[in-house]
Amino acid sequence: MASPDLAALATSLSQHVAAIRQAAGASPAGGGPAWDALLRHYGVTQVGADERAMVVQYLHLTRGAAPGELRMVMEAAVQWARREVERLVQGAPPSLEVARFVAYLDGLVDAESAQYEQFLGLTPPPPLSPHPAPPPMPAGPSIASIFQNAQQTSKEVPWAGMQYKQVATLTCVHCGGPQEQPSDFMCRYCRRPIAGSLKPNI
Amino acid sequence: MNAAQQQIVAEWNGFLQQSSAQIQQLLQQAAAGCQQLIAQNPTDSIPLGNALMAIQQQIKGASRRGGDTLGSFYDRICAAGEGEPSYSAMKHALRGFDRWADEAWEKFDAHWRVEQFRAMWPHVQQGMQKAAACTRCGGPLRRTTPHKSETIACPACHSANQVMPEAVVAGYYGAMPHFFAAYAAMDKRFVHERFKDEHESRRDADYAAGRERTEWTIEDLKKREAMERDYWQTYAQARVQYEGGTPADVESLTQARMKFFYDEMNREDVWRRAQGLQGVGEQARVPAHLGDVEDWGPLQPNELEDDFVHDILLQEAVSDPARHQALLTQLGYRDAVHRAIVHRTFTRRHQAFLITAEGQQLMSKAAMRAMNERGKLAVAAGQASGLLDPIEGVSLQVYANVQAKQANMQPAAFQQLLAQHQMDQAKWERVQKGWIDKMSKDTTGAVATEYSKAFMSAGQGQYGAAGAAAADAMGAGGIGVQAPAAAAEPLSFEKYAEISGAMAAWSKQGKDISAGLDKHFKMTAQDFSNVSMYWSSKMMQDMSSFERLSQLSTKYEQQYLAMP
Repeated sequence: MASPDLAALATSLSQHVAAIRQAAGASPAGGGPAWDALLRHYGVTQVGADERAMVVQYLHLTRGAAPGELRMVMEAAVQWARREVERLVQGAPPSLEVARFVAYLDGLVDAESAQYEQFLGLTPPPPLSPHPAPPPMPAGPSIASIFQNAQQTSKEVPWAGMQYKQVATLTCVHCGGPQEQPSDFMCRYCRRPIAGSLKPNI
Repeated sequence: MNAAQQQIVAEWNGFLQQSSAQIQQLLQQAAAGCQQLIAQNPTDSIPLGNALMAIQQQIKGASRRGGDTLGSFYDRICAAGEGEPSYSAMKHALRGFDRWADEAWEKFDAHWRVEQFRAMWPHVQQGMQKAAACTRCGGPLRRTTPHKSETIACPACHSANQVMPEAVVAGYYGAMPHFFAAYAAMDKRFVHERFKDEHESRRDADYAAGRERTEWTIEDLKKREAMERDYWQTYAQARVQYEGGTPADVESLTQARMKFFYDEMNREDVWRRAQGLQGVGEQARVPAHLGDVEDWGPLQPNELEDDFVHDILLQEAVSDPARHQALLTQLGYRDAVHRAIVHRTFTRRHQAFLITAEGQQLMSKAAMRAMNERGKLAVAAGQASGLLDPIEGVSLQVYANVQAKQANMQPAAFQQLLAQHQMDQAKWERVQKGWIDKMSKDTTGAVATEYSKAFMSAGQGQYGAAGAAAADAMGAGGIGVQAPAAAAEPLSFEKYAEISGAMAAWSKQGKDISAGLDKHFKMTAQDFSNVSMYWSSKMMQDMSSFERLSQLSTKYEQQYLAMP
């Protein structure tokens, strides 16, 4: 069962997504006033009129906002949702349901873009080359071993387990008398330097 | 952007998203580990610090791969049509990814460090409440600053007792103020970084659209100044609140940190002009009617190397207009134009020589000499300004010398040493804090240079002679100009490379470096510092040795990484 906050966020996000989808689909080819207002609402800068015209011409659009702009708005909505998740989690280790929701966010923009392009009747171009998977993470030590090493080796430092006295009294190296006045390093009993000598500090 | 390019850009975005997911996954796994590590070591922050260092390397590695991969996508974009605007769109996405990765890591790191200190707090409270008793008569001592060392005269027997905080208390108050303050202020730093990113993206978009790239306006730079000040003020206020201090301390810390910002701004022509200064290039321009003038200034025609030393010194000083002006006068020039004429005279006369191998060698040597000269000038300026004045009567040299000896002394012997210098533990801590504070605020490096020389000159530890030899060489000729005495070689170059490689491996594995040095090489961090100083100084004589060191230490790093 999702936490109430996360469930509310998921509902709110799906409402945003539906509104974006609806506004994009209902827009005249390349965009219109309602779509422009939606872009402003999400803080997305619209592409220039030239580019819109080019998109309509080259993609043979008869309706709907430019797919690139839809992608940007979806990205803005996802960014907002990510910030909300961060606020909910507040640095705590994320739960499984949060991890699932984040994974859903990761794929949302691509999925919505593909669905919208299908709606517009655009055929996705064949990939020029196989989709490059990100290279595997550099073969570093595993996270578990890092924590194990950190725990174990901190006990192997040469000073591990050493105990120091928290209170110390200086005694004169000449006569064994104690220091009695703080900041007085001449023994008041034998009148010689309490630590054997006095060295210049400059 | 044609359809094929749209596809490539979409793939690029997908690649960045997957990289983000990898980083997120890493952080999720690491979060659980951090929590457990803190629970196991609530009073010791070292294990967490070691683990975070290793995780950071993995995160940075994953983040770096974005930049490394951009080139191959760019090639594909170009093969499919015009490079722009696709390339700037990809760079924009990469910038966003880098910012996200950087912020995600910074937040993670700060969060867990703060958690460590929170876990430590109950133990700190306990430690501060512990009763202290006189070492001679056992009478109770009343503490007034249980988080700091203090000397208390026993009311019963009058003995002066030096009472030190428990290790957990000292550790907490030593590091907590910085981490709590950094945590409180970090969002303000992110705001400034994002503002800079937006500017870069705007410039890319300009280029993509065939427009001139937007330059910073003075309004933008003033905004940046305000953001930077806001960040440092927030940091300084929080820090002073946690470690104690006055509003004057907040202002002095803020000013010191802002110095780095102003150094950067003083290289921006827009900023300089707003301050009534000439642009960087402008001030070094020879007026057309003086283009053929031959003037050697304070130098002789055969002192080409000195000319380059002056050039490097003056270029570095541009970031501080007052220092630049003073340096021009000190070196014997009337003004920046005079200096520009002299430099042109030298380069015109020696043009053919400068492109030969010998010419290049001369310039490398000039760079070394300039580095040393800069250090000497900074120290001289520090002496003149009072930066290097003693703290509570203790000079930087004595402070460094005593600190070098501390590492190899038992606490009782150290108290004796302090007493010889008329210090008790409380005064020592104040002096130490004062010098660390000066070092962290000094942007010229004068305090660090003098400290390092004095620390090594103390000749402490099994390789003390090597450190002292390096310090001697630095004092006599400067880095890279005079080699340390060969007789002081502490261990072979190959061994030095092995230790360096091992340390790199341990830091990736989360292993404690001090423990590793002791276990594998029977040495302390101070020993390694002496060895490293010796070899760094020696390597400056032969720049190719840096390449050899890099190859050898990489080989050893792999070996040590393979060890359990």
